[in-house]
Amino acid sequence: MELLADLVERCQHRLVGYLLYLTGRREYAEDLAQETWIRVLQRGSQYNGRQRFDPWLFAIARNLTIDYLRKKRKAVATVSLPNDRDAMLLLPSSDPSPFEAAARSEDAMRLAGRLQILPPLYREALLLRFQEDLSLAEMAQVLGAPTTTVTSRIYRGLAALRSAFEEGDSHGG
Amino acid sequence: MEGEKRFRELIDRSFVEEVSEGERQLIHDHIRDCDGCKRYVELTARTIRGLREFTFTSEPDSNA
Repeated sequence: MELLADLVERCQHRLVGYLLYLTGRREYAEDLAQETWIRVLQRGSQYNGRQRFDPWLFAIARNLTIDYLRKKRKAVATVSLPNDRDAMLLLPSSDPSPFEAAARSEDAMRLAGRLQILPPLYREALLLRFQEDLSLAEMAQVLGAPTTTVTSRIYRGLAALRSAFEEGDSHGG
Repeated sequence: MEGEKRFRELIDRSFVEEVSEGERQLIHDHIRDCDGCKRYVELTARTIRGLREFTFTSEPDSNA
């Protein structure tokens, strides 16, 4: 239990950040972070200690999030669900942006609005690469996707965010 | 135009994946003469820097 407490202390804020990028909603992120730690406790024996802990943690959080959003969507819709698990991440958010609250610079604030409307799959890829500094191979492990898909999501996300500065600058911002 | 597109793909790759020293030098030489690609490099670097400037906490109120 002491080890788990250490891990929670070291990783909790990053886990919540990842879940915010994934869901775009603070209340989901908080609930899912708790669920993730419970799952870590249950499945700790499955962790391969030769690999980094963080990708394993994020993969658990990601699977829980997809299942959680699938249930939520089932509860509000009668239409048939897409088979692709990733499609579950496309639920729109109408809540205030958690990204504005987390922005720590003027540039980050400019990105915050774009992040809120960016497809979560791109948002997730950007966070894992540029905040968590995961390697492309580690990202592929978390996302359960080939590295070509991973890089494609990063490039598309970057292109969408870069335009925030292009448009802002051309308007004198 | 096609050449510029290829350079921008290479620039993207230099920020995200491994590129060789030769490719890095190619970008360096190109942006000396191409203002569009130079700006592209600057905007990409600024975007990535901005992405690193988010701080999330587990308590929503502690950010306020």
